[in-house]
Amino acid sequence: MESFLQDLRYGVRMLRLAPSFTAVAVLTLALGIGANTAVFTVIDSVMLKMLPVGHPEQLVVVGDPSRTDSTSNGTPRIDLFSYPLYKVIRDNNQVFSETFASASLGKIKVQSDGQQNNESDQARVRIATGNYFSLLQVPALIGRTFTAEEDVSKGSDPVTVISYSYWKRRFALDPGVLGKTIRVNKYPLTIVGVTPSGFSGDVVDSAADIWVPMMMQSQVMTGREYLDTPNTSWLQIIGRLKPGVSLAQAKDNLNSVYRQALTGGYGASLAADDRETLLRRDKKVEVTSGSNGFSRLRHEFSKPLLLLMAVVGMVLLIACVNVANLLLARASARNKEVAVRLAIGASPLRLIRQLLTESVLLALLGGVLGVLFAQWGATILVRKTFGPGTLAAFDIHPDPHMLAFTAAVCLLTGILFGMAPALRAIGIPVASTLKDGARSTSVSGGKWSIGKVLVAAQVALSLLVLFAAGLLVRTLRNLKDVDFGYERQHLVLIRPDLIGAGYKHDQLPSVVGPLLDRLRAVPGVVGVSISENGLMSGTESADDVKIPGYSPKQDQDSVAYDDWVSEDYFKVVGIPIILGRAIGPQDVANSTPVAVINEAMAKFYFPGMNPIGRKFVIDDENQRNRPIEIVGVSRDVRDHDLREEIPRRFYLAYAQSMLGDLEGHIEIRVAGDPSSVVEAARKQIREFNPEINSVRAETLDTLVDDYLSQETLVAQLSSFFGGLALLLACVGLYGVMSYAVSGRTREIGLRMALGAQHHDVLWMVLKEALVLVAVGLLIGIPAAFGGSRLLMSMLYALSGLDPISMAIAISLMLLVAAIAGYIPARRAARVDPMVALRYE
Amino acid sequence: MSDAGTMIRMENITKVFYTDEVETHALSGIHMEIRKGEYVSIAGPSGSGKSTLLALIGLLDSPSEGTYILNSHPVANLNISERSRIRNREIGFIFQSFNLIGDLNVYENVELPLTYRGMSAGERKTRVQQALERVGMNHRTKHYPSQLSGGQQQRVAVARALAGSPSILLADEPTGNLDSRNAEAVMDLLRDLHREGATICMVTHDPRFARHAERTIHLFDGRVVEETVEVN
Repeated sequence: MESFLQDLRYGVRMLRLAPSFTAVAVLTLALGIGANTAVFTVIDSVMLKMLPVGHPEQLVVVGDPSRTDSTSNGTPRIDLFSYPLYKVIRDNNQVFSETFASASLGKIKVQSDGQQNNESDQARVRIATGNYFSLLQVPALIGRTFTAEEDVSKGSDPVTVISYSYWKRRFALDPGVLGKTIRVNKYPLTIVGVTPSGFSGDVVDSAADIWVPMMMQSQVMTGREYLDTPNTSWLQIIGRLKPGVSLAQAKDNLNSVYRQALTGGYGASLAADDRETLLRRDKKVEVTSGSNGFSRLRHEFSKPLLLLMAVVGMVLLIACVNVANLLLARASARNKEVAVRLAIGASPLRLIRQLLTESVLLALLGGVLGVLFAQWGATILVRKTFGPGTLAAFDIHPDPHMLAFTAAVCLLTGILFGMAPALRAIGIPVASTLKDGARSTSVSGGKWSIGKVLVAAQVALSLLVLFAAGLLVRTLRNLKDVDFGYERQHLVLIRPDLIGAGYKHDQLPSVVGPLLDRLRAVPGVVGVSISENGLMSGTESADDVKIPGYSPKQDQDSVAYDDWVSEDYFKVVGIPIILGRAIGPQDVANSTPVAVINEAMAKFYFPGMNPIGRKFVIDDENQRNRPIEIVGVSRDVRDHDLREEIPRRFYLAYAQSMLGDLEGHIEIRVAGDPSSVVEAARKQIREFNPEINSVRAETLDTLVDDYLSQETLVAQLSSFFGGLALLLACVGLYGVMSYAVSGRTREIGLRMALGAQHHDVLWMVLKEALVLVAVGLLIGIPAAFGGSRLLMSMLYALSGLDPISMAIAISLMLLVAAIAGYIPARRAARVDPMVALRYE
Repeated sequence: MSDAGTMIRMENITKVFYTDEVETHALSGIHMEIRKGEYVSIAGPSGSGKSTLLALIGLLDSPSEGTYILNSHPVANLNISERSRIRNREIGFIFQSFNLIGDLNVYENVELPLTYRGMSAGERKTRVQQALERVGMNHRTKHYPSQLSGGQQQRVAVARALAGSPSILLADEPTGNLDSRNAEAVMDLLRDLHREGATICMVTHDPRFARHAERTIHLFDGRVVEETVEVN
């Protein structure tokens, strides 16, 4: 310990005596360590951190933990749950001590009685069963949380619990907040408690502000009755495992409960076709660890974040190589010191330990600065990745996880970049060094030194990062250039919440028509239509179909996507009809049900035939006896997805809708800039009825950009880190070539004295730099092609051997190498032979 | 042959250096012996192999062939760690260019070999103080080498060599970088140490200083060509 402290003291002194070296090395390491810490912080926050609740390791999620903010109407699901199915699981399982259900109501208007309210006052509201807080073992900071009594009768407990951050933001931590009334969707609820600071709910990437008891569902979700509806799947479930129960046992038990329920009372409450479908599909209820709660982002971004972690890992390696080269250059100045230490009896291991102490110290200094960079970087990363409003949901402050990670990275990098110089140091010829202080030749001279080998490795690593960045950037470009099959630049999409505004389902047809007419009057609007699912909305519908004369080979063959569209839909969106006609004004409620099918459906079910006039049915209890006539075939278009093969799809007439709750998405075709119409359209809807909340009003281009946010993120960040890798490689190459040139001043002087021209010397040095790069490229090219296999699932319309990406990466590398090599080469060419020879 | 009084015995020592395609015979068939308490100098012209022989004696290098016995133990074929350990405990080096570490002060320089021995701080302090006192440098403990004259630096180097109480002091041209007054002072110091019982082996090409030793081994072209004994 004492000798370690001695090494440490000496290390500090050595770094203090060489401030320029220390500054450059610490900054280089800080960039590498900071980037790694920033990405790790986000990964930790999104993927690893446990919920701040009691014994999170005992929690399990039933269903899909990523389906936050989702609601599905149709055949019951088991990735999300209806309230009746939740009750079946809660009451019949034998593996959980308790089970709760919760759902997000999204960010909605919340007003406080007795306070000044703005139109923009919104809060994230989560609805939860009465045992939510007790199961999570989260007590109230002040007041109380929900009780079991609040789970008994509908609408009888208008209470709410608010989060600490909402208490702070909205009530300035007023201790008299208990008993105050807030209005969620205009419904008054009394605040009975505040949760502790740091608890923001069971969804890690969406901090809840307000919790409402499940029994108040219809009061706070105006117009929607979900508690008795088995066809509305909207709840997420968490259970707390009984002692000694494993995940596998829980899964077995829940599936057994589910199967029994399907054939028992729960199954009897379902429509016959839904029950048949569920029994036929025989899907399994998934059970996963719930220790880190629900998260949509974890599912969506885990792969890009892990990819980024690999990229920044390589950047750190490149930074390590740079610092190793700096240390090697500096080591020659310390040859004599090392020789003395060896002569007076320092063992090689002892010396390695001392030199590694110095390098780890350097890495720790880099780590301290890196943590500061990481704070800044993680904030940018979260804002950029998940949107500006999401920062509050993520805990990205330095914590033991982050500091332990940084310390481990520092230790590892310190050993990594310190090892080569340390090994080289113990190999110096002691006697001759002590005698005449012979200079090291490790990084000078024409032969392959450790320094040059490291630079070649650095070039190879940089090429790997650059090639990956090239592939991801070209993927994004390909996705942005995808032919949608219609002109997408002048479209606006709006989703008005008509039910939430208080309209009953049977009122919708009489509301939609006048609303669309009002929108048609907005200046710049060319056409307006409405459809069930809109474009790039994240909402899709699919049904089993029966085609006379067609026998499906497998279950999937019967499935086709569908949409209910108004008469102008094809014209407004711009989808060409290639056969027959579009949905028209003649397709009204009491006329023959009609459909337009897309090319994919026509080719699949009617190969080589004319489908016009043929009929099919939707395999649903209510529609089985309602044949639909195909009146047209539309071109295959991209409406919800850019990557996958365009699926079979049919379009039904909106006016013939039988579902009754079609609120729909409005499509607006505009003549000029669509963004200018967005606000005007919102205004028209507000004027039509101030209670209608436009859940989303965006241009299609914005929706496509949102859809591509993951690809954009990885392309932008990998490009940034590719640039950083290139810069570090450039600095590394420059350093090694400068050092080599300074060590060869006399040789160059001699060459010039013997008649070498400036350009001879220039080329001699430049050639050396380019040989280093060429060797790096020879290693890097196969490694990059091999490594691209890991990216295959993220690429689009691109091979992992893409020659253009490789050509760009190589060109950039050569360009930078030429610049990095040219400066020392030019300095070499300016050597004055007289001065150089006298220097000897 | 293994006399109780023999500290160093070398038999048929050869050292060959290989550089690229050139083979250089630095030492050939060296036989020599140094007894405990003896003061031996190795003399010879430049390139005769003096420093190579001293490096072999000091275990800074290994012979290509031959037998080397130090304190009755064969040491010609030890690994690098064993050689380090023996250097640390048995040998004290004094170099022509002092070879003090510029970033350590006088005290730390003298203390350094003791830290590698794993000695306790208290014992190290006692030994360092004694060694510095012995060479008359105990008033300069906080000074750095750059703040000392050449003679003072060499005295600190002698203190460093003495601190570990080695079996033998190896001095490689200890006066080579000193003016005559300082050179005489260092030679007086070595003579006093010898009188107190130290075994010393010194390389020098200056006949005036070689005469301080009891016995001089003359090298030429890597071979021992003559041994002379000083008669006082």
